[in-house]
Amino acid sequence: MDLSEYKDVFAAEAREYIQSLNDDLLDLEQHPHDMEVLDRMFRGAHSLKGMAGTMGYDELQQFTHEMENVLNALRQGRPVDVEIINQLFTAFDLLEILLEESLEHGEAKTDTREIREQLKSWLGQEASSVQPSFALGELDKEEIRQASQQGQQAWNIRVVLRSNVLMKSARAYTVIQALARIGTIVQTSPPMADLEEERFGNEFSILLLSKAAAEDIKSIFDKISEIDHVAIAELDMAAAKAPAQSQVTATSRRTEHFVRVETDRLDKLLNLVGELVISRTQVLELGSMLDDNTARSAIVQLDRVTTELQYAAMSLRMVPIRQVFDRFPRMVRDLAQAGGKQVQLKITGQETELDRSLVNDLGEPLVHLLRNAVDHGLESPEERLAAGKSEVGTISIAARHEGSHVVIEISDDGRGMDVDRIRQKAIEKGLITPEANLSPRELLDLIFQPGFSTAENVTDISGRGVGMDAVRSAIQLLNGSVELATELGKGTTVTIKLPLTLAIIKALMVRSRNEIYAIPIQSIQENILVPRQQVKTIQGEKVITLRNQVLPLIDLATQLDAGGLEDRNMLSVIVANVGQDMVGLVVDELLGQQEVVIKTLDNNLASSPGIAGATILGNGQVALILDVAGLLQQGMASYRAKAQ
Amino acid sequence: MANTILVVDDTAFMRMMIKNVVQKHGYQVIGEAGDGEEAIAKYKELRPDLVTMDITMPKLDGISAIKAIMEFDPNAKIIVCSAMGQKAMVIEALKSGAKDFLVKPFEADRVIEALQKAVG
Repeated sequence: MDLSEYKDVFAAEAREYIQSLNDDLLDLEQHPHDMEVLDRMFRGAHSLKGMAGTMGYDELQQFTHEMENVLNALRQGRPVDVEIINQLFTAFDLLEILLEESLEHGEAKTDTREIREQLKSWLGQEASSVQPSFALGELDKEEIRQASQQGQQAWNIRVVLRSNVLMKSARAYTVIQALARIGTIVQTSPPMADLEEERFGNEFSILLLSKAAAEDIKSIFDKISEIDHVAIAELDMAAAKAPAQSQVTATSRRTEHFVRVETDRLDKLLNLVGELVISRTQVLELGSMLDDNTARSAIVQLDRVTTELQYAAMSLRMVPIRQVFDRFPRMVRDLAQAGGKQVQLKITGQETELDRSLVNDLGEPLVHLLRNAVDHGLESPEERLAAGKSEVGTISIAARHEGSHVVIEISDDGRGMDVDRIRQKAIEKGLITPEANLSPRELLDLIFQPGFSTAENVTDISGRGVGMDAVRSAIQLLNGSVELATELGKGTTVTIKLPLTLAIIKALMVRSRNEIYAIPIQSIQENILVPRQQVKTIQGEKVITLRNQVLPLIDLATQLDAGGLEDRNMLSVIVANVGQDMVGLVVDELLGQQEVVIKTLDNNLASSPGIAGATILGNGQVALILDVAGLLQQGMASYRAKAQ
Repeated sequence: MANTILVVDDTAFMRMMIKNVVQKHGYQVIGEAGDGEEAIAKYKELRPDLVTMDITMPKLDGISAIKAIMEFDPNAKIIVCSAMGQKAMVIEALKSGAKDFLVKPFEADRVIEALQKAVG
């Protein structure tokens, strides 16, 4: 791998990190108990080490590793005193020298032995770590006794991870997974909950019952990455403390209480709440027909409590959006460097919570929007200066709650989009006729058409793969929406709205023949009544004209194999859209809006295009939830094919 | 004889990076895949010694692909590649049979260590 192209990026970033380390050290000197600063310094040293390693600057990497160890020890409770601060200042100066030497000559020559010895001896001053003892209750002791009668030995296994492990809890999990195969894990120190939440330094201990010999246990660790060393000893029962004693951890300032719950159990609970919500609707319906006031107020109370339960259950699935945003600063930085832009990234609302199932699917569309902002939104520094702006462009990502939605806004103060150019491009591409009269908002919406781009040179980074149409599809799959707002010369804002939960959506209920369908409100643009005479047939497809645009019609009854259209003079048409594509769904009757709980279907039905799931209505009937995108694909594909 | 690897990631950039790293250490990349479906197909076709598998991919995600490959070949050696913040998915992948995990951005020696330990 030719590293020379990375060298400039590395140099700039490494110098920044060293600068931060120095700034933070000054801060630490004034506030020796500031855990945030120590964490930041540790992460900085860690990142620097990683980068140095990738570039092949071994001396720099090793020296940074020593720094990391020291910072880690401080993070875990070693007191910050004048002596170590001075040593760190000296060390950081040396770090800078090593960096410049490495950049200049490809390797560092300066002798770092003296400082390293000093740091090593400081590290060694820590009282030899006593094997953390387990808190064993009577049940645990009994289990151990019985195990020993069956020929199983109780092992106290102390695992020390390397200090640069990125996902400590996942790494701990691999250890536990491997050991669980050869025995029973009675307990861990710190407890499993802490391991899962990464509330531990680099080491943890496991109490294992197993028939395996010590060498066999050791060989298990040979197959696990990122282990610094392991100490396997027979459990000293006498040293086990009574559970009443709590272990004091020096680092955490917040006291929070967590319990660990299997996700299966949680999902089951949430499923039941969902069913309760449906039942509540049924009861409400029946209740409205009652004359008895006592009964009616009891039902109102039930409704109130159920709604609160619904929100409480939803909150169990919520995680802060920070997880999604975390990787953006680095990414934006890299993109800016690559594109010759100067970018300042502002992120707000990281604590905003959203359903955990959204987190995984949200990253890609957001990444693409950020790429767009950096590559196409922001001008080069020269252009910006010429336009009277500062050289450094600003991109902000903001997340917040708005009613029952999560709103994510990505805005830039770049060149904005030229609505006229969009119009021209659309005419060029044959998306609209020259006579078509579209509002600015409708023109902007064209951006979401597949294959659309107003950049002259579509750079490799943003041009490949995902386009705005895919962004919109991805968001709509999450039952969310995307909108653009722009001001030429000033910048662009993309607003994404996501519902706070996936499982319950607002839908329009419709009847087509004898079947009841639920159409997610998100996909609906409007409902219209159309006289049958206005339906034209173009190339075998039934269409109508809606405000100068041709709208293909899909007859729900025939499309979903549920029988033919009733003979009516006026057709009830629901105009639904996915991105810029619109379609008219012909139904027999509109039944009203309601919230529905999405139930997943068996694989058989679910593979029908156009069906997203099912729900059970208040009267017990099953209604199918439509996947408008899927219906569209089917209908549009044949329509387009014939229109060619 | 070099160990053979199937590299699975939906971005060509990542596949190139991983390929460069592992080839430098004597591994042979005998195939690449851009999504979970392709990964399963290529695994069956090429039977590599090792697989690096990204998690978030179009068509079929990494975890589903891991499950399918493990079902086809219980001895498959898959290393799952994830980004920071995907801890739960990593654990899910390990539960589904992945032997080890790597976190982006990758450090070359971590990649090699994971491959060596997986091959055993």
